[in-house]
Amino acid sequence: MPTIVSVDDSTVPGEGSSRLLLLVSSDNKHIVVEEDIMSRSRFISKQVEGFEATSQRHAILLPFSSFVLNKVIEYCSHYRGYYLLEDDPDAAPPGRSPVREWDQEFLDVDRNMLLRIIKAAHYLEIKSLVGSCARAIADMIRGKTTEEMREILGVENDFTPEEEHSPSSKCTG
Amino acid sequence: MVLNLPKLPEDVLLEILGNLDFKDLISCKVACKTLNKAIDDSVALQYSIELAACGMVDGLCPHPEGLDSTIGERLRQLRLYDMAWRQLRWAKQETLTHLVGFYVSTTLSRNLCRSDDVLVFLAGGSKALLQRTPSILRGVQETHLEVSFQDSQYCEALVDYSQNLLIWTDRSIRCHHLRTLSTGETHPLACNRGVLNTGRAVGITGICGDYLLEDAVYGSNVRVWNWKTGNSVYEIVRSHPYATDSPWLFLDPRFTISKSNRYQEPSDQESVGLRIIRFREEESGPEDLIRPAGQSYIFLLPEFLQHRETEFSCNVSPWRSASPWASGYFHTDPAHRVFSVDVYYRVDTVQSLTFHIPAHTFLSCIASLPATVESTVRVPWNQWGPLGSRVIPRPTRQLKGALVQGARAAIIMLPSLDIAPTVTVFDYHPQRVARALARQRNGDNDTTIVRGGTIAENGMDVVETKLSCIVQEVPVPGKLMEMMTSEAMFRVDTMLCEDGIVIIEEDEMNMVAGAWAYTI
Repeated sequence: MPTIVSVDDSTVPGEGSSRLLLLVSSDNKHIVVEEDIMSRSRFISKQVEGFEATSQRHAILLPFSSFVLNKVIEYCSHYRGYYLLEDDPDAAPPGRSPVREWDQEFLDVDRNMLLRIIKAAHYLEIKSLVGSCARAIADMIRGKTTEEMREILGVENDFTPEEEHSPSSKCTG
Repeated sequence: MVLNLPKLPEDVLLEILGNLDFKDLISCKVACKTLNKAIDDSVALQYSIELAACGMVDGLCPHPEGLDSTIGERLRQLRLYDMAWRQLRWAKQETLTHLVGFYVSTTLSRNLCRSDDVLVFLAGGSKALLQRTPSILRGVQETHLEVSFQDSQYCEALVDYSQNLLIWTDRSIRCHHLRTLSTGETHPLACNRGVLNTGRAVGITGICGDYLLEDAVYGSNVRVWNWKTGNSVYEIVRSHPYATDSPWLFLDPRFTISKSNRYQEPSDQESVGLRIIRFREEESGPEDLIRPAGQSYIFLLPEFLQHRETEFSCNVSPWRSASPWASGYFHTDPAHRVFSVDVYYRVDTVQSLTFHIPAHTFLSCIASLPATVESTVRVPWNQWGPLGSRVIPRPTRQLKGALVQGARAAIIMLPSLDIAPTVTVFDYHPQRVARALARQRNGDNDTTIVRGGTIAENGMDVVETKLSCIVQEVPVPGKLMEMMTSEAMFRVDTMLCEDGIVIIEEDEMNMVAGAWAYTI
């Protein structure tokens, strides 16, 4: 029997104008959330469009834990009603995402969590959150030597010694 | 816990890598094969690496001709540009027929002005022709634009390519029109709908950022205006009210103005040579640096001075000295940490030349050129345009050397008919030099690199560095040589642009009879 977790006790079905969604995390927690909070996610928006086409609403299964999902919902709730340029599919600018102070605090978590959030944000297609996470991850590897970088990134040096010293694997100049 | 970046979806990976600068990207490239491949496959990341390797930043302002290109196209152009610098050669001669019929007045070089690779010619007092010379290096096509000003009789024009600004001075109604260089329309940032009324019948001699330098031909003062607000911000009073030689003043890019600034023209008739006058601390006397005569020097300012206006907020005043034997030309480009000095003598009577350089301005001499032939006729400084120069053919068929200094490279012409005429290019762009050195270490000896000399004779004024520059010698095309030495009824002017030469043939009326452009 799955546990139903409501993110906000004040939102009971039928009260607000916004409809509710049922999200199911990989650890089988059921989370009820208002639809317009999650409208930032392109993935959820597409699901909702699907519901309207078939006039059937059912739970949305997500491949990550409730811990991560709650974090994403916290992000979406914070920016509820805000317009973020990166999330606009028609106007998304190329290049780096802008620095938002709240995001920096929000993403002040361990590497493991950060990695899970960026994966979740990518799955849910929340561009602004992917951008902010990417910036946070980039900050971790910035200015590090190749050795330190391998350690942080968890990669093995898979170059052969010849390849390592060939100019082509280095700077193009 | 490790990040295990390569397992992330590719677009997330690129999003992360997009936040890194080129140094970190290069470290990532050698970390593992997956990252190496991800970076190599991304055009945007390649572009950012190569841009940084060339020491450039992407253009922050829109292209003056309204051209927009994709990252892929920019990367392609960047690679072409880089290759062009490695193997300089002349572009095919371009005939610039549009110039025919325009005036080339050399009494004041204001009538023939140039900014970057844009030349301005005047015709009939009410019409200007803007000519952009073609260039392989920059990947620009030859373009031209005609701008007309009705009811103008006596005019001067000045351009600033970097700000897309054309200033048209109408002496009859004593005002300056501020136009856009690419279209001829009113400049969007200009004050008062594009008209700066200064109430003086004089021209602008310098543009720098928001500031204009307005010279007084018959007056005793020079004014600095802000062309965006229309305010007069500073007035410089000359020590000689009736000075006939109007000084060439150059504005520093980070020129800031305070009431203590006072420009003093030299009154010492004995002084020879060139002087950098510091606007800010006139009381701190300049230190002298004695150099042998008959040489040209290129200096590179140390990096720490680049953004410190308090250290090097100087103005430059080259002037012809009272001595009939020496003259010089000098300009500075503090934004690029470069200035060059071209020093020469008519007769070998002066043994040394004095540079007046502020005591704590450390300079590194990165190239010193051999003295040119003593019988060479030099053009007096006041006939030199900012950044440009003229070459006058002599009956002896000796040509003078000329120097043009671009952002980070100098093109020096040292042609002589006795030997195979060449143009020597000293490329001291730090990134290009660094990569040439790296190639040389890899056994690729396609470039000549010279170690920069130092001029630390007393060990105090100059920092000894290991700066080097790439030297390339480009043979002068036969046709170009022919034009330069022609003694036909027409006079031939040669102008040096950033990366090329424009040859203008004039008739007796100072009208352009023909024009050609060679670019390298």
